Amino acid sequence: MNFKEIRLIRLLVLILVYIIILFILVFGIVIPSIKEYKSERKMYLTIQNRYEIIKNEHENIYDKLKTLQHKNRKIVETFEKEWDEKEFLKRANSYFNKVKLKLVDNNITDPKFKIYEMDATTKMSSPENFYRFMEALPLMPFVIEADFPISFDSDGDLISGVFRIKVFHEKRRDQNTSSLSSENNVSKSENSKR
Amino acid sequence: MKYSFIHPKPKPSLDSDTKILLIFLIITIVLTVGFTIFIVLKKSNFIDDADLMRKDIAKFQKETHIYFNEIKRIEFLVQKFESIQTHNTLLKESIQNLFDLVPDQITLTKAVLKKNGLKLYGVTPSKDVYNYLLQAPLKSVFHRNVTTFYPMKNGWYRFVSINEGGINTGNGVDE
Repeated sequence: MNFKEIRLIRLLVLILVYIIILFILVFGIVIPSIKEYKSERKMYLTIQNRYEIIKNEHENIYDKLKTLQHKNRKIVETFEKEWDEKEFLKRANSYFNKVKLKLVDNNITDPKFKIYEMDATTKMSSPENFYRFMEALPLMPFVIEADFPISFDSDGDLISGVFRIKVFHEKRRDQNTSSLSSENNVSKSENSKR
Repeated sequence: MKYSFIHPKPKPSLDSDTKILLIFLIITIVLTVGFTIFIVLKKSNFIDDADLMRKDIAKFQKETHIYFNEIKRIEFLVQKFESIQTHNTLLKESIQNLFDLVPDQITLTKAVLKKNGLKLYGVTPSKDVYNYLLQAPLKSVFHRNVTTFYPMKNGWYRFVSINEGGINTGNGVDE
């Protein structure tokens, strides 16, 4: 064996060692980490897709809620307003000559509302007063339902009218969305940064 | 005494081929390790982002549930409000219509309206006037009508009319 042959064999052995090390690196480190990366990426994309759907749904429902709140603010406030007999009498007196209220029942079982049932005894100069009062009920700061029994009795020049009214006051809510809306704004800004 | 025309050089510990191969090996290891570190960092970035998104999803779902309940609540309140206002309008109209039924010849002294009936007290010049001008329209509204007349000194009649049947003022809101 001459020197040239020895050198060639050494070179071949070194190349073989290099290839073995290369194989170990590729199959031992690179391919497993790429596999893990791919599986994590797949999971990430699935979550991202779900996140986008839920975020859109959340935004749509939030917008719908805000629109509803804005549109029906007065109705909701009317249901939330505590019953105030003085305020009602003050308004009712502009339709009748005299108004008196007598509580019939305030323990009506209703899961959503506290209902005050009262008999309103009134004096009026004509049935027109009653009609105008009925027309003005939607503008009252309380939700009032007029109901039977209703009686009208002539009393000299005046008419004595007695009718039942039910005042609906919503029972206390268990959720506070106003605090959530501020949290939502914060999370929205955080998401936009992402 | 010299036996060679050139100066002797010390033999290098690594020959040129081995050096090239070693450089190749080092570059390969650096590239592979660098690439692996990049992949691992990227993967941990995905994991962190996915965790954040999972937390946000849970928060969104919780908030969406609350918003949904709030929407249901507002819709229910609006429906209830409209039902109450419809009831009030129908009640007002039924009372107005009832008083419009009473002709000028007949004077009502008392009217009692209940859910399932109406009681009228009044004065009529004759039974016929009552029967033609008030009884007939009342019969079309109520199922059962009973009228009692009490003669007065001036020839007129006091009457008590009991009418049974429904006065429809609409139904409430179903929950």
